[in-house]
Amino acid sequence: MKKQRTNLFKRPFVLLLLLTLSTQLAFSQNQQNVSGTVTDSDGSLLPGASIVVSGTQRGTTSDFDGRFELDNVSSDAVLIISYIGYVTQEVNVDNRSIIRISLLEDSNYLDEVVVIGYQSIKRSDIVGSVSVVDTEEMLKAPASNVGQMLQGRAAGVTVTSTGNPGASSSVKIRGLNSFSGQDSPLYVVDGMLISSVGADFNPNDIESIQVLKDAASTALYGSRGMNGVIVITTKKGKAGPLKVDYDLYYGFQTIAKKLPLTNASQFIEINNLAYTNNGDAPQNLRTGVNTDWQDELFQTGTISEHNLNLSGGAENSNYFVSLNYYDQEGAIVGPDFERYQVRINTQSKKGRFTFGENIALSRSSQTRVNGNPFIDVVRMLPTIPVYDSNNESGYGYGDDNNSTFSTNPIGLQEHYSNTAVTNKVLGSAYGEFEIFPFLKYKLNLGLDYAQIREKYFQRAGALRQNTPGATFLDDRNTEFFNILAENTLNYNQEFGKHSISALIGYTTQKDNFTFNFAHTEGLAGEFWVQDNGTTSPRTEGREEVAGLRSLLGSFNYSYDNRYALLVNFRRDGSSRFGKDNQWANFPSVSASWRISEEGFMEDNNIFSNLKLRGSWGIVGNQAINNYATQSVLSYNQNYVLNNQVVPGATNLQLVNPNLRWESKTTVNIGLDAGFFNNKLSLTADYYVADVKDLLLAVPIPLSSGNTGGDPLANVGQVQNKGLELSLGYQNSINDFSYGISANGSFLKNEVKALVAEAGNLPIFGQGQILRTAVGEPVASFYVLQTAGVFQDQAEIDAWGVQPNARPGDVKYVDNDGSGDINFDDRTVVGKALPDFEYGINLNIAYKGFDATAFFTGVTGNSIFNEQKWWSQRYDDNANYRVDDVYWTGAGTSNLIPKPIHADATLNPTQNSDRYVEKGDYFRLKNLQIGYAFPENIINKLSLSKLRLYVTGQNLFTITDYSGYDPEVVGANGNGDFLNRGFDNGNFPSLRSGIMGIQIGF
Amino acid sequence: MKKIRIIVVVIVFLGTTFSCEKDLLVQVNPNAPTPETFWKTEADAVSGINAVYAGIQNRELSLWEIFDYDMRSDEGYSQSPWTDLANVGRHVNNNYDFPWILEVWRELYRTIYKANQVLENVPNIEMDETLKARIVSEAYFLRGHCYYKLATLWGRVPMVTGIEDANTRYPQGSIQEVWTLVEQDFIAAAAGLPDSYSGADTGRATKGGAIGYLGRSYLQQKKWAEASTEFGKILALTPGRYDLMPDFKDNFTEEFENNRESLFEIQFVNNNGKTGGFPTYNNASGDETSERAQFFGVRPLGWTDGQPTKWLLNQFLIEPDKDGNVDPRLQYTLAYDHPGELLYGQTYAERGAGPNDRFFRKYTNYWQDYDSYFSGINTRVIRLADIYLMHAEALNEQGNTQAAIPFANLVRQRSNMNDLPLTLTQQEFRLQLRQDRVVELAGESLRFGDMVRYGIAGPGLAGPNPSLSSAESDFDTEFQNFVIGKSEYLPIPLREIDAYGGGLEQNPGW
Repeated sequence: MKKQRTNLFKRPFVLLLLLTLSTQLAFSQNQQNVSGTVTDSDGSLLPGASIVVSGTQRGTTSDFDGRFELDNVSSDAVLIISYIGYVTQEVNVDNRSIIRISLLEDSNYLDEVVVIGYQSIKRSDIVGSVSVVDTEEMLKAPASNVGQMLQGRAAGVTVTSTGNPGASSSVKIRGLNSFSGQDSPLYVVDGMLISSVGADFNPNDIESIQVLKDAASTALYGSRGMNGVIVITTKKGKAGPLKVDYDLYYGFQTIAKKLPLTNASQFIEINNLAYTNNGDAPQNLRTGVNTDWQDELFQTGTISEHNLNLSGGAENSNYFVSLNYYDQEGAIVGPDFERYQVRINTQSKKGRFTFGENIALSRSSQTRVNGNPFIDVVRMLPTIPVYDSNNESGYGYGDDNNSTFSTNPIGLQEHYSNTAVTNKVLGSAYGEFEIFPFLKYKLNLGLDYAQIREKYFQRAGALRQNTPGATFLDDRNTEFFNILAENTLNYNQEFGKHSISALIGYTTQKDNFTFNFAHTEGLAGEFWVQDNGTTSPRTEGREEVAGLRSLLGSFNYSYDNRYALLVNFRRDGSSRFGKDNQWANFPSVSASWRISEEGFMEDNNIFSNLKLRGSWGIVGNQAINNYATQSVLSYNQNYVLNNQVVPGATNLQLVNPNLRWESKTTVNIGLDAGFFNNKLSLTADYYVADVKDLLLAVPIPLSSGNTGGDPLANVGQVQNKGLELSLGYQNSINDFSYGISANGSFLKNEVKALVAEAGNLPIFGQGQILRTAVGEPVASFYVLQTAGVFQDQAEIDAWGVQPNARPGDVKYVDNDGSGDINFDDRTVVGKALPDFEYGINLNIAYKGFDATAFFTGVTGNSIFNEQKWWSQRYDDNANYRVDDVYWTGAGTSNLIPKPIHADATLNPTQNSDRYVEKGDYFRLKNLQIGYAFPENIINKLSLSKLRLYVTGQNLFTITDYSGYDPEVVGANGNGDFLNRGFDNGNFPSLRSGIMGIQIGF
Repeated sequence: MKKIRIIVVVIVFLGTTFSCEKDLLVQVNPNAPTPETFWKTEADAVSGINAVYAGIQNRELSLWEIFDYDMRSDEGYSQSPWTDLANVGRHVNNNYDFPWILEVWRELYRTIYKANQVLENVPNIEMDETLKARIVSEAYFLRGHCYYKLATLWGRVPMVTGIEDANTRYPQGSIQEVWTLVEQDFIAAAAGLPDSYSGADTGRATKGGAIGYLGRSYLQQKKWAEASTEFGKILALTPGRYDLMPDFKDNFTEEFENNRESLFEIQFVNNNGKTGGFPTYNNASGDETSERAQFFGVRPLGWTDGQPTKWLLNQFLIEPDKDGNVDPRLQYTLAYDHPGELLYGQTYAERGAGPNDRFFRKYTNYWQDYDSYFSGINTRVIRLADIYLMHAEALNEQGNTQAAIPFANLVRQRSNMNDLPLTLTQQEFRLQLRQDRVVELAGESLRFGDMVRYGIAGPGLAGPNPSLSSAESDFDTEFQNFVIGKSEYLPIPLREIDAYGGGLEQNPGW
């Protein structure tokens, strides 16, 4: 595979060189013939574009190959080129006989038909709050998954990603709505409802993405609409002969930042000092070894993708086939990801009957990151070698004289293996029957099948001090088989100026899950199969089924394109809840007024579109696991009697049988405006969303005896208030076109109630660092507050509350006024969710050249930096930062205390605001420069399109955050409300340099 | 034509709608029975009580309580490279959710929840009444065992005595109330437990175990008269039911488990025969082993996270046996650098151990050439020698010194030590008995409770030069951080205080 890729990659550059030489020039005349091509910004030819000579009735349309010819045109004439869905462009002939016209897509094109769930409507008829994503721009930033591509592309959509190959991104819509962990949006891919779209989905197949945000838009998804809905429609073939598009890119990826850690001699100096400061003899640290763990772990990763599309169609049928290969080798030793996907979309029609299907088969392989290498590189000592043949494993790790309980991060990736292979079928098939021209029946059947094979094994030998390592093998097989049947009747009729559309439907979904696990130990040799195990075999297995049955209805009335009213309703019944709480109703109402269609607006030259929208609705979330309301017995609570193992059984986990749906009531007011023939567009939405009955795993006392996760209860209330703005401007002057689009989201989040019975106690996350409390935003950092470092005894005496402190100790604030420092002095010092997030996309095109720059940023959030916690605690051995100035005497440092190994005071490990940093950043997420070859060249090559581009990702970031990357998902990659913003070794975003080619036949 | 079309569509629509599974929304967990369907048969009752025993055997307890009890006493000190772990014995806990605090608390309460399930459900099962009474009594015994540990480690703890829903917050008991609960549980247990078991039931809680534990509970509260009454009931069963084993060491090996000296043991077995890797518990064919040996074992076979103090060694060297030799119990309690000493078959030099390194032997597999997480040695919770010494203490504190001394002598005689003269004064015998308990019971997690009962724990124990390590000093210098009125108890886990929401008061000083 690798070899082939290289060859394909080289060839176009040779062509480029040859063909650039053969460009021709044209002569000027007074009256002349003009010919040329019309393409989109990517160089794809546009058939059927209208070319009119300004001020005349003369004109033509481009032919099937996007070509046009006009005779006897004045050499100073102006051509007006227009095409549906693209910005109209005026071009001066300027004595040219060949004119290449590149049209810019109109990202705010109002007649575009968009899919918003069970219906397709014109963009101008949207009543709720829906972001239509500019997928063309989105796909310019190569990434393995859709979530990553969505970052900064739509107001109200928060995406955080890591550089971990194959890992999913955290996608949240309009803040954190659910505490249950199920706070990610619902995805609707070609009518199939799924809970996530991961790296096994080929983003290049996407034709359009709509993000449904308010309750009016998501009410038709009822119990799954609370976290927003992302509607994805994949590409279809267009009428015409076979069209072949081949895209290829290849690039390099690196970890953009290296922390300034000490080398061996610097380390020894500080470590010896830390021991001496505690009155101990320094460790007998190894000399002659100077390991830079970051250099050892980090490598140059690669990213590449091949995407081949074959499409075409005739009057009654069309097809779209895509073949995709994506490969990413990690920017650290170890992880990689590979995806193969085939998609076949077809649609056929006969008379009143339409049949279609969309199906994607994929196989992806992932080598996962083991352990927590981005913490280990900080905890590992430079005096420990990466490889050490004295150890059974062959890897170096802490010992009595170089003590650290860090795990060798290289060994973790090389000596242990953690892989997953996912086979997936995602698709839908539908039949539609037109009973009357105004009434259609549709049966939609969906399938989401996944089989995941995970394999984890450890070779013999330790990778960590005092931690033995024997061989073992875990095999995990998981199967998901989720099927959906939807029956809908669609009514659509116009009576003069009145237009009515309505929908009723009945849907059933059944989710099946099975899981098997096998474990064995004592394996010899490199034979990683269960059969090779000799001791301690162990198996686990589980099966689950869930059912969901729904009724849905929608009624939409509009008058004269000016006034519209939309009523949606869904009734859902879920097997996950107990009998009394099984069913729930989700209604919504919305209305819009298109002011620009009013008579009094006819003569205005400013507004080309002006629409006011308002909506109210309730949506829900069935965010509990299957059988979560059913208490069960656990077996294998075994004991020993008479030296024989005897079986025991008992209930371990407490449950709450009366769980209900979470529900969210949203009020949304929106404004859409287009100015100057829609060159400038503005969308604004203000919303207030109140979530109640939040399903929350309430941390109950340990004395309850509960084992496993804390039981859920419907307890919390949260309010999200937000303002979302999207602005777009595009224009073209002759061959030069440019556009700016920007979106920003302000979010204010407040917890209104938690467990009232338990006095609305705050809920704490991992390490008791993040808490969610009434009156605060979800995920607030709740730690001790510091006021510097004591410089001398006088300062300690004056401070009063730390009488036992020594000069050089951390000075804590006695927030509860109790006269001493303890955990009651913790206070909120920051929050994990930003106040404001934004994305800015700039694009320019001139003749064949185009450039896009995409910036994203956030402000107002904080991050807990665990790397800093390790490098500044001193009591336990870890590496130090060379730029950390620790206290060595009065006036030396007011930030970092005196280093003391085995320090038994409050200094070292207290979670304090020393480790909470500002998370604001502004970053150039993507920069792409492309060149589409002119028609005369691609003609000679019998191509319809040839474009080359280079892309740079994460080229610069402006931030005060001292860790690897301010784009932090959360503890252990979990972006939920108790882990968010906790950087405990987050895999940083990667800096990439990518070159690509797009060829069309 | 139009009508036909409509009819066809209506039929198709309704047909596909209702032909689906009728009970799609009624999904019963196919993986396990529910408590409603369980607790019906005798076999369910036995499984249920076995699960409670599984709780007291949990690794979090076998592993951490040796740090919470033995390292906090003057018998042990730690030079673990895991600073936080070493700190617990230094009476320092910078985070109240460290595993040796939070996990011990958690596992004790998990076991209590399992016991409460038995107490709630088994009485309603139609089954053999004798067996039912025994199982209920076993549950009381095991709950009492957990509350005894809670009472000695934390003092004022929530008194969970039922199975309510998840939102219930049981009230925090006063130290006295918690002790009363312990007493009641052992009294209830003693009433229904058999004297002994045979065959496959060997190892279950016995009447003698409950009585002995009740006596120990009284003793710890200095209820001397009540304590000696209970111990008297055990003495009535000697030497028929209970007697000292001829050899001291037989109490700490796999060979003589559940022997005549033993009143209650936590049962372990190395059922998988493993010597490497980590154990897994509570799965089909999971491990049933103790991790104590691994954590005290000699490096590199074990972690040596806890070691005997020089002070402890000194206690053995004070009094030679009848023949003028070193107290024979020393060689089975700890290893120290002297001629002929072997550490798992190798000399001090071969193991790289220094002259001031001492290692616990009791409960380790020192006669092998390895140790591991997979130790099958039962933990003796109460044995007759302890009963004798506790009885002697109870009598002595009631002023009956002459009657008390012979019980101490019974224990001394087994180890070839000279008898104490009956002429000792109460105070002389009190101090001698403290010494006798140390050399007999060192490393059996009893000393810290003894120190608190004696009222001797305090920073003064650190000696004149606290900067020396406990390996070099004749005193356990770790006591320099001991704060009287605070360090007797561990801090209640912060997570628990947070989850209680104001209803749970932290222990004084923490």
